[in-house]
Amino acid sequence: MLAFLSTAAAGNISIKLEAGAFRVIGLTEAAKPAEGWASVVAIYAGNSDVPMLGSYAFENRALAFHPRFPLAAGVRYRAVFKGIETVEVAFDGPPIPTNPLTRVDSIYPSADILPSNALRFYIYFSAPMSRGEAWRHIHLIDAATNQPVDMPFLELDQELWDQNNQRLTVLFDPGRIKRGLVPTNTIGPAIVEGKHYKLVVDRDFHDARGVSLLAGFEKSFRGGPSNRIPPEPKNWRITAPHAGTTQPLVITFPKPMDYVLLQRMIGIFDAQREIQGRISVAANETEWRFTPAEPWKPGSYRITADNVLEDISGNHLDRPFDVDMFETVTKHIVTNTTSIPFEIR
Amino acid sequence: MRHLFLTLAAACLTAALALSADVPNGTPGKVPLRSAGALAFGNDGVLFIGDSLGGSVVAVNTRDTKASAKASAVDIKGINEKAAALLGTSADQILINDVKVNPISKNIYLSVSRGKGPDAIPVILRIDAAGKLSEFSLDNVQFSSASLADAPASKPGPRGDPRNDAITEIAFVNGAVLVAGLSNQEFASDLRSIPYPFKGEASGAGIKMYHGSHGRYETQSPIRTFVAYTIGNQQFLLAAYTCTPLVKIPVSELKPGAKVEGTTIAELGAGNRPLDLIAYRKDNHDYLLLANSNRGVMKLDAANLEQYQPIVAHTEATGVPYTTLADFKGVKHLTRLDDSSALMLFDNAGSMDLRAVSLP
Repeated sequence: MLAFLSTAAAGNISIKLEAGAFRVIGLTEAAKPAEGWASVVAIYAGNSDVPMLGSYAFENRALAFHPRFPLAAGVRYRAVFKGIETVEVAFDGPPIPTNPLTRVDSIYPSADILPSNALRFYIYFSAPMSRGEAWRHIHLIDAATNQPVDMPFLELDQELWDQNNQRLTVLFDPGRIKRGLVPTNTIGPAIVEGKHYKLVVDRDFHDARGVSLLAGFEKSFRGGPSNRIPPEPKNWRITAPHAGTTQPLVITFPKPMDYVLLQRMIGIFDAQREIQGRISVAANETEWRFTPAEPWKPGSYRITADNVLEDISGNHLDRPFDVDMFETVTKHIVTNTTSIPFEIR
Repeated sequence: MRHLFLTLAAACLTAALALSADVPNGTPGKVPLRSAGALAFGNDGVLFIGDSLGGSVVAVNTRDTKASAKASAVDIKGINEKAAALLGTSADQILINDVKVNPISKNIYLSVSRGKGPDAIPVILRIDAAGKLSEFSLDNVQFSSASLADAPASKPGPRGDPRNDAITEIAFVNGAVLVAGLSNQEFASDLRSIPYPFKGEASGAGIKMYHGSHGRYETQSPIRTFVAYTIGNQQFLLAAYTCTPLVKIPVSELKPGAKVEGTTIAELGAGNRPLDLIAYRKDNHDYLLLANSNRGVMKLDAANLEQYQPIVAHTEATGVPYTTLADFKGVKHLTRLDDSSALMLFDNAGSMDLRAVSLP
């Protein structure tokens, strides 16, 4: 220890940040204390006295501290050497970007009348967003009073993002929608038939870079009657294209269906295989359009829909969101599909 | 010579014991974790980590098996600031996802996201009896994993964005890891029962959890939080559903592909956001403690749970009696610490405070 103290006078020590590592110049490798380098050199993030994780190595005749994780934006780091005197040097992590780039692209359901038992919104952002802020920055506002509806949504801490943090699924509190529950019968659903609302996304909602949105976003809508009837495929109108063309096959639904599930749960098949092509959704999610990759051959086809496909109130093809049951619950469920045949000439 | 033989025998026995504490079917190396969310402990210091983004549950050998009967009186203010500092970032750039205690050592484990974007780095942190915070590195551990992806079976061909489930709670019950999750697409929730040791195949079909409100209206119902509980000599899960009721579910019914209905034992009413549920015994009496982010902490009398009739009539009765402990406001996580205390993580105006609390 004495040898160490004599070789490391404060005047000899300087600290640099170079290539992502903090480098302490003026120490010799032989001067390593018995308790390890961490007892004399530590890097602190912000004002904390908790040293940050990293590893020490002697490189290019300097002691290098390699942080465990990349330096974070907007954080000031203090590199501290404790010898006879203390040498402390501050370094800034990368700057937090300040230019807003991200906006809300769209919100589904896109219709401007929503049933009082609407189950969810999908909010699409133009770039990845930060997790952990959703419930502070999304509001359902009663347009008549400009006051927020109290706790309309299922505020899951985990938040329901897609893999890129660009699509957020916001569920209305099922406890206020499902028939027969205390909340439904006391405070009632968040959306009341006849009233006007705004779904507001705050500008202060941070994207993954830590920057606010370019602008806030508002979707205005009116509450409609509740919708508890399962979608019935025999009421779907099929517009079959002509053979030899790549015209789209169009399915028109009497009421809006779930935007995301429409793109996953319906396929077109001929006798042998699924037809490849592109799906698009239009007309406030009452139209499903399929444009084939190759021109249609004449013949028999079928549309196959997974029965889990929902309308915007969560009713499935074969059962409503909340089923009125009088018999015992069946003990096994089988995944079912519904097929609709059609011809192309 | 005899001395040498005994030494060798002791060495072999120690090695054998070390091997048996390892994760069965496990491999050594770096855990390929994409996110670290819900945590649970199994036996022998095995830590289960729910990876929602990667769609899997990982079992990791913590080797943290030195027993301690009582936990120290934890009282750490600003654990989020300390965790952020340890990770070289600021408190507004991390998320603390779950807090659980190793029942053997009483060391506290936190699952943390360093960063809040899609590339956030998952980290497990550990707090020891002296209150020292360190990283439990996943770079070189013994681990095994189970995928939560649905069996391909009768799904239509690949199109659209596949469903991703947010794991809300995991627990090790009767030799299986139970995983409660909620889909980010269809309104569906699965409770998966994955036998442990993991066998390397997909976990099998989920168990569809249904809830019948007042015996009449039945829907799929995601579970927010649950705890294993023994009534008589039968094992149940007590679960708080997203649509507010507290239900009991016989563990024996939780088989892959089954459709299971929970029996409502309490209607906790509107505005209830259940976060964590623990069971404990005090003065020869059974209780449940439910952390509720809106209403503080509710203490439920769990005596005679089997006697409560399932709530089927449309009444105002709430079933199991409970009291609200108004002192505990802003609780974000609640878990057992030892036989006489619970561990709570409070959000104190942005400062996350971790505190041991006597079981009330």
